[in-house]
Amino acid sequence: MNNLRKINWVKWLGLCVMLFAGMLVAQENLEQVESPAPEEAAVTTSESPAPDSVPDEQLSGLEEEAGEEETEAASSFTIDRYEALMAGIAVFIVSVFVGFEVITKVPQTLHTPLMSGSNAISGITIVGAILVVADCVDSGDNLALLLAGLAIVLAMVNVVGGFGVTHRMLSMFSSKKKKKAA
Amino acid sequence: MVELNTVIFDVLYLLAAILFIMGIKKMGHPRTAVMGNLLGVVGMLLAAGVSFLITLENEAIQNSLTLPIGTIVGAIFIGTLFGTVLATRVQMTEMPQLVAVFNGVGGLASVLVAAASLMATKDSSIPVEVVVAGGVSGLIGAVTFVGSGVAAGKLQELNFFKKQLPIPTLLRHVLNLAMLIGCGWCVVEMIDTSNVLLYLVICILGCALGYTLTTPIGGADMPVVIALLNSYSGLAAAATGFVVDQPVLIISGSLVGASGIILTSLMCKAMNRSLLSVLFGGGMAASYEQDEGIYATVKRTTAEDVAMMVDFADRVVFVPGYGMAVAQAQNAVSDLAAMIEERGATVEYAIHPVAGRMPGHMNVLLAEADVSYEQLRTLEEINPDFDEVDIAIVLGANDVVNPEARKEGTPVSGMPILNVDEARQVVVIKRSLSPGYAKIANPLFAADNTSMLFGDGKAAIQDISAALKEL
Repeated sequence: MNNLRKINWVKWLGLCVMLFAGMLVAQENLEQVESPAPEEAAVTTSESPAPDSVPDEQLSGLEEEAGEEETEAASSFTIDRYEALMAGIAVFIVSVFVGFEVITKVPQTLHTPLMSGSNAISGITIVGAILVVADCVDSGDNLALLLAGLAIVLAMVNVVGGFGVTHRMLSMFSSKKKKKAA
Repeated sequence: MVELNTVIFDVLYLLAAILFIMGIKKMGHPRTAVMGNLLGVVGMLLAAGVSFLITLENEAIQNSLTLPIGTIVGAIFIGTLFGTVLATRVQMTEMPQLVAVFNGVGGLASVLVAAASLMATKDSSIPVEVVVAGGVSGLIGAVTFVGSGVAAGKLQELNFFKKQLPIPTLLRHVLNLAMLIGCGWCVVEMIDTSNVLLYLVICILGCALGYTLTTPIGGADMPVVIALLNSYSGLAAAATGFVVDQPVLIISGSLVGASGIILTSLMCKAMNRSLLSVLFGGGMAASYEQDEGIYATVKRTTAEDVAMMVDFADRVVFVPGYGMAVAQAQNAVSDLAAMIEERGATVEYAIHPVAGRMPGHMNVLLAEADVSYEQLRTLEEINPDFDEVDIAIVLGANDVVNPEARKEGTPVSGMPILNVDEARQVVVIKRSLSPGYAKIANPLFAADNTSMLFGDGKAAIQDISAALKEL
């Protein structure tokens, strides 16, 4: 039993390392995409890769290598962005497997709290909503800013409500034992 | 060069993602679940805090910090207020609706983030991958939003949502497909023209799709739908992650997506239906001839008789169904169970995986009524034991205890059921003999060892308690 637990733990560590590596690759590529633009200090990795920062002339030779029909599109698809995208997809796939691994065999009793709890986690869009505010202000688009603000409100309702309700349910589950003992 | 701050922020984001993973892992066991939820909260605070700091440091807006900061803080305040009110005020019996609403809200948030992100892109051409991710985010988010709204409306039993679409099934499929293709076209067009208005079209199509997909799905299939929408809201968040280029969104979103899919397939298995048949209708045998006189041998009983039976029993099993939730009878059941236990009998609860309107619905209600989760038995645990059960009290459940499921060629054939009919005595508390969702008669009601106690679930249970007190 103990041995089994150890193996589990190692598997976990492995998955986390893979995730971390994927994230690093994604971030690094992002930096490369953004760094050629001299006026844009690469402070944030948060912004969507601003295409104006990609010097089209210099990198257009690489377009061929990026392959796929996307190169035909109006916006140029550089090798760096291609790699960043691929890393993102890798992170996505690994995370799905992590998700499957974590949640198999949840007891029926916990299905509802698990659902509302994971639902609260999907409120992680709050990160995107907050980060996009700066872009909106920068571009001076007030409608976009309004939408971003609304997105923050909704994501926050999702987060606070989701975690709150989950906690309410879970504390009902656990309070029983004390009552029984008493 | 990568700045130090960037690295720190990224590591913190990663930490948040790891906290989510650990949190969800811990949610898998009753003893660690509270801790798991709190880990999720910490992760979320961390992620939101880091995002806030990044915004503060953003050089592009250094001259005009008031507007963005004001927007963020104000919006967070309003959102927290609404979230807290909803989380604390809503009744436990309304939990399925609430979860659906939260799903929908999360989906809409993803739609708006992608919209704002696309609109705020300064140059004429938006990168291909951002357009595609934005389109996906908009579509899934909109489907989640409207779909959850419809689901919540159905669960709340609003009349508006009970209506079926006046469109034949086949035409509906064609229409759905057309809308999906329309979305694809919009994305392709948007890649070429970078016209953000096309995103609006995608969202509208997504909303319509959400409506046409969920409206035909019946109430008993709601556990599947809610679990699936939960998965969608995660996938929408992951797609948004591609739009704003944030791995933490991708990780968390796909975690939620995966968990939702697992719950969905569990629910489908428990109903013996494929996901496709739930989503697109059909799957159930259209007509099934049953013996007309099937209910000829139904026996009625009274609360006093049931109390007497219970008084002699050593092992009593309650089988709750959606009817218990409707009648809000969970506290009455818990009180009765306590009285029975005082008389020395053991009390258990047999819970079918799809009893109720959301995964684990009965468990939550019984937990609210102070029932220890150790008394809750799953289908696999209790089924081999039913022949040793003295009295099985079925409360507002129907299809999940229908022995027809063990026969071939019935609409419920093959569906795993609770073998209540094997118990020595069965008491079915129900308002009438009307069929359940599967629209077939239940031979259990007419079985030799079954007696029916007609009436409102809560009142009936309270009557039994009162009668038991007088014995």
